[in-house]
Amino acid sequence: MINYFFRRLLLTIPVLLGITLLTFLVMHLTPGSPADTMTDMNLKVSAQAKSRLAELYGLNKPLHVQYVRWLGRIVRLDFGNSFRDERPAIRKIAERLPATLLLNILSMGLILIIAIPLGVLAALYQKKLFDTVATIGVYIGFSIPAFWLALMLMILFGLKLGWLPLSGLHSINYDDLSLPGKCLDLARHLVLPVFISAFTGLAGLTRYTRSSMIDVLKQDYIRMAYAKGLPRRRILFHHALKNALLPVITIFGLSLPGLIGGGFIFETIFAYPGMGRLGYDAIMARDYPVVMAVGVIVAFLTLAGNLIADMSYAIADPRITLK
Amino acid sequence: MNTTILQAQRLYKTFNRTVKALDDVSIELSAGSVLGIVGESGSGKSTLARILCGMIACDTGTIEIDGKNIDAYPRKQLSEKVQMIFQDPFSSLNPKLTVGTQLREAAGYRADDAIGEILAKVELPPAIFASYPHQFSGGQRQRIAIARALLKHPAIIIADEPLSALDVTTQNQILKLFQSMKDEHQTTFIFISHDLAVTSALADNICIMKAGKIIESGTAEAIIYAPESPYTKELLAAVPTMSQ
Repeated sequence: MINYFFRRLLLTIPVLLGITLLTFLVMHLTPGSPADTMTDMNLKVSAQAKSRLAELYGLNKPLHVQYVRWLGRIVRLDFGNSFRDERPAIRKIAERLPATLLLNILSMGLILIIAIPLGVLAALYQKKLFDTVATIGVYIGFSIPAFWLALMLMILFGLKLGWLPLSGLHSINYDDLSLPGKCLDLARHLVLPVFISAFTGLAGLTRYTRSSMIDVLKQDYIRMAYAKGLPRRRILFHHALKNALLPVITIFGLSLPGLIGGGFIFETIFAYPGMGRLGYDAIMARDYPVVMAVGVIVAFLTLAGNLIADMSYAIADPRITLK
Repeated sequence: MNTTILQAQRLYKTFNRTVKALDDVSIELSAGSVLGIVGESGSGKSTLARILCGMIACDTGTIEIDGKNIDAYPRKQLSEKVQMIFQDPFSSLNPKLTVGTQLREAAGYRADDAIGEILAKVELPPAIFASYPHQFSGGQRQRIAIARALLKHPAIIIADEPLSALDVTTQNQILKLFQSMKDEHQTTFIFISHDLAVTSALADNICIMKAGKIIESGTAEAIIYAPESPYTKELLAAVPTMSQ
């Protein structure tokens, strides 16, 4: 398995190179340059000043030179400085990462706590009222656009009822609050984003758990477990669920990039200070170093997620041997 | 005197309101005897097996084991009366649990020595405990499945086509194992198969099933040497011989 791990790790290098090249090209071929974005609103800026700005950031060099220089830096984890405020891109990401992690771990936890029991119960009561209601419920969550639901709930709970804050992660007076007050403030800000993120993400995992559980419950080894006279709880949790949860590992591996990358639209709606909003703002400002840093990190995590999923499969299922 | 250990009377089972899987089936089984049930695919053999060990319920009819209605047994007690061996040894063992865990569950967490004794009966070493089912051949898995069934010391073992997923050599080994269980330990069996020749080698009595009905029953000798039903004759004619 260690050999497999290192071989897969080596294989990620060309894939990562391809991703960096694509990210770089897409960003540089987008109309408008950072110099335009910085100077367009200022009529006094001359063409000379614009070209000096382009020279300063190395934007006047041929694309391949810019790419090789950039690649040389990211090997040393130096993603360059933001064009907007000259701060290192990696530091900006490090500042935003905890907020995105907090939101996504909470919503992922909520999804797990709800989706797995819901999927299991829907499988046990297949084609009964509970299954129908659960299926309709998760499909509603799947079908409703997250941004629309977010806006509706913000209007209801933020504006009409005034129970929850509309945006951000903290209130303005956060620093003046006591520790329990700070925790409560943070919790109030997280309620809507976590709920919406979890509600719209429930469907996939619930359906996977349900169909996987239905398949497993039909297996002879489950019939054999009943024939052994084992308690129903042991059959369900020890024999069936252990086998049914294998596909969930794949979903978890694939959700790792989302866990770190954050949701661009989602975080923007809630003015949530996470990675998604950082990426969105950077794209709008043609802030190449930040956009590409976010792109590369998310791409790396996607590959890492796939690798972790494969490795977890081998650990969870004794039949799988990685060679 | 042979005592009746299982008596099933007038069993009916229909699937999806249209498919008649069992149509007025009655059987009787004496302690220490082997009853063979033979029929083609879809004749209702496996449905009968699952009903007899309480996995599914029949629509109408009664089943008595040791003089007590099957519904009156709690599941755990029923598992001590009837055990089943499935057709496919590849799907009948949980792939995620070690063989040891699965055998210990069946043994009710009795000492490993007791499990070792049963394993010796089916010619498997105790060293298999820590291994997973996928590490064994089909024949070894079927032996594990048989050991698992024996660990409950059930009054009746229902073997549902236990040979059909195995190659000929392994079939022969497992058949010998059943034979020794019958001869040396007087185990009570219901042996289900589509192969009349194999069944006749093991069974004292045979029932021939077709389309959910028992169309002929009797001692193995009577069925083999003096069959009455044309279908039984067809089955016998289908048994390959050396000259063929």
